[in-house]
Amino acid sequence: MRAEPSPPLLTTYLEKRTMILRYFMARTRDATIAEDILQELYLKIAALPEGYDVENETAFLFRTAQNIWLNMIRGKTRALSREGQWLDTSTHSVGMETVADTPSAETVVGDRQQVALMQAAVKELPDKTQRIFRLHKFDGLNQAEVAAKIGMSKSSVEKHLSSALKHLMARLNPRSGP
Amino acid sequence: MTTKALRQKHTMDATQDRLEIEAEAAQWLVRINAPDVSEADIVALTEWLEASDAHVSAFDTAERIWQQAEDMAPPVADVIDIGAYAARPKTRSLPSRWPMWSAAGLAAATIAALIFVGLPKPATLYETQKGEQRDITLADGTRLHLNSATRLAVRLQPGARRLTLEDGEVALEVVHDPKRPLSLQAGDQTITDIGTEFVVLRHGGDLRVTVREGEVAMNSLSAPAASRTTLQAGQQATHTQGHDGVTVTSVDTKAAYMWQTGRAIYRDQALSEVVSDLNRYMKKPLVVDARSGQLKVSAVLKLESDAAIVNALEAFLPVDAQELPDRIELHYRK
Repeated sequence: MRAEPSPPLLTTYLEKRTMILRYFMARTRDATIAEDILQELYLKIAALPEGYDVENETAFLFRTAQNIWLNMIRGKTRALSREGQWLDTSTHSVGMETVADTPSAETVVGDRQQVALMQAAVKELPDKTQRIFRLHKFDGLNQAEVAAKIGMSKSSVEKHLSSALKHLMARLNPRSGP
Repeated sequence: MTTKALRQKHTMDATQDRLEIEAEAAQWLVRINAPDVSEADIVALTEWLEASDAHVSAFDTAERIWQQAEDMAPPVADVIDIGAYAARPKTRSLPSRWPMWSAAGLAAATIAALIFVGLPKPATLYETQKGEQRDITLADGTRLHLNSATRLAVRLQPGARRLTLEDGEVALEVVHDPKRPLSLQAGDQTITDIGTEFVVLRHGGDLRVTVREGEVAMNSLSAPAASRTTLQAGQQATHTQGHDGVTVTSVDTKAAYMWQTGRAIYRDQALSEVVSDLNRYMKKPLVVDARSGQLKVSAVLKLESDAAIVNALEAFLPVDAQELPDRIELHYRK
């Protein structure tokens, strides 16, 4: 009873597959993970109901693949670690220290401190930047919706958001360095 | 910032210090999250990532912090509780995902991965005590029926509905929303709804999924794509944690829903298995001796109380029950 992938999306998938695959190979530095993401992407679009309406197909495919990747690093780290793939990659690419099996009380405390740090860092943002950031991250409006809501151009919204992110990175990631 | 401008910055890479790379990573991340992201953007970012490990590293950080910020969003009341059958509805916020992580034992991880990736979405945990059942309606209209001794975590996010069955049994009537898929994780399997009614039992290391209406997909976490199994109405899948694959059979789905009427049904099952299942309801656990454990049971048992269950077993089978302070032993009747 599963519908066939709606033809335009499938066509776009076939056209853009290589381009998206190359992105995830660069992003994850692991061809197997990149292939898995593309497989999963195919399954996702295959499961869409017939006539599923997509405005910008390339953006849709990319965003879907991006979500698959984010879910992978969020929830599935544990499973992938059995194969040693993701963690190896991440250890390699992040270049940070590895930790023991069980998180210590210290890291749990560190976790809470991290949340407090993040909250403080958000409050430090200039008013306008902070408002845009909150609308986007907390209220879940996409960039175009934020732009429409506050009557600003999309590119200005983008600038505010990237400057917010830059600030958070500086505040929350003091360890990373040369 | 435009792709062209980012490309120009890209060429100055060699002399950039960390802050500049981080600033670029931040710009890239926001750009590719824009709803109008173009192929040119993706290709340009690919080239930027390919150019240096430091770029990938900075982008890792940017992506994690961006996710973490989302996780901080104030929790929204995402659940309408229509009450429990029995007393003591317990709802609390999951403090964090640490217990799951530590239990599994992470072979290796970066501190960053634990801190950023491991942060919880606001989640609600529903628990039932032994002998208790509970009905819950989520804000999206999806209905959950929790059986005895069940723990289920629910996270409703803008783009996804995520449930985690830590233990026990839940029947779901899912309101289908293709833009907000519902998935239920149970151990090493993920069950994805395709608009349906199904019931999931996780007990010991065993998982059983029964579909009454519609269709669901199951994937193992370790190989999501290759392991995909689709279940139709009337089918049941069984799986043992840590093993490959699932076994699919056609069943009478009424049996899987029998607990909702306060009864359990067994067909030609070993008493040892039946006892393991009944212990989900027993306040004082049953223990069975080796010989009785092999007895075959076909019965419908009322789950009213420990005493009712024990009396029924004694009536159906050649066993005698002996109540001890911490358990009830079943012995083969000589």
